[in-house]
Amino acid sequence: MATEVLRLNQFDCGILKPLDLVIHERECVCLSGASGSGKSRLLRAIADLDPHGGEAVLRGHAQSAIPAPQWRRRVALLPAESQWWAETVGEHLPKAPAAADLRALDLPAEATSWNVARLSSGEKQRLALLRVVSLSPEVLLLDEPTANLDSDNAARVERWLLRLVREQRLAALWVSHDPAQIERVADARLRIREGEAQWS
Amino acid sequence: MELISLSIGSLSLAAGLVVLLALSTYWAGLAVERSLLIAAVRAAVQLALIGLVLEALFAVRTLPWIVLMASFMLLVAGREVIARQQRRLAGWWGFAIGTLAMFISSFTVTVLALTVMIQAEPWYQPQYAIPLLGMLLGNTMNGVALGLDRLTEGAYQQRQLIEARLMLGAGWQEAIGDIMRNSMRSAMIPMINGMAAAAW
Repeated sequence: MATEVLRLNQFDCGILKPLDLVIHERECVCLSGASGSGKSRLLRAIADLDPHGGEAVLRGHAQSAIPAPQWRRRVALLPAESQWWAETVGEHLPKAPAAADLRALDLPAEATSWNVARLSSGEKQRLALLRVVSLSPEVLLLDEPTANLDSDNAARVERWLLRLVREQRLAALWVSHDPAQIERVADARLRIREGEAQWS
Repeated sequence: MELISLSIGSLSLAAGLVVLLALSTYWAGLAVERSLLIAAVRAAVQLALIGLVLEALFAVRTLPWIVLMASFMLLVAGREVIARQQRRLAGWWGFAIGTLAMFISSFTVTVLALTVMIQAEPWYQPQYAIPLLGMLLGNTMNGVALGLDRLTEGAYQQRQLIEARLMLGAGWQEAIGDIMRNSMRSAMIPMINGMAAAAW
């Protein structure tokens, strides 16, 4: 039986009905729903960025008992739009990325010395993924991780993320609009209808 | 000690310069002569009133009254600092932070100067204490108003960057550290300029 990683108990992010959810090791749950239905709000609340009711539990430890910075490194959120505050890409990364990861995302080894002002939206998206994964999280909250990518890169990112989830025994909550992508990556599917997340 | 007193003639000369300035701005079409004259009259009336208060205070010379006067000056300075802020911290915080910072810096230095350097008898002799405190409060007011304004404005402008850093597990000190250091640096510029120019 797979080990439970993340559990939500009557979790209330403010605009959805309180939600119960369990994600296991190596499991990818896809979340879909119309824009503005509260998917991003739910992810932000799980990452402890927005006020919320109920409780989130990581491997038996309640969110309320873990300091927020530590929780956010373990339950890491990739937002729809990435932000860059320093001059070069490398300054945003806690450690130098593995060569295999750079290759898998079709990024050259010198990508860490790139100036962030000159990044394309696709490069930003892939580097943001690299950045969030370099925290070595246990749960990945992915807000449309392939939205800014062409189909080649989208397929690359998909394969890379799925392999990470399987090999490093992560739990993933993946927001996607693309039925074909959901078909490829989802172990379970949640759909938001009329303010309520339902299994489908 | 011989006090230098100003005659009515020399005061009229100063007032005449203000009237001349008002006339020049009128001829130059700057349309500020009205507010200039009003400000000048207001300043004269205020200074006369302060003169009356100080005269009474210098006559009484007891510690409780001097403390009362000093607290009043501090509160006025605190109010002025808040008035300079474009974006204020919610609740009492904005006022309390600025006022406390000014209290600690200017009161400690005033007491140090009075007791160790001037060594007046008693140390709180208002002829020394009040003008000294006034000068120190004026200087710290500049620094605190600039520093707070840069801090809140920076936090507002870069709120998405701050949030992105929090998202990646940074503590608040790290997430807002750059803005804090920059605002402290800006706050010290007037003082450093003053000392640098004095050295010539």
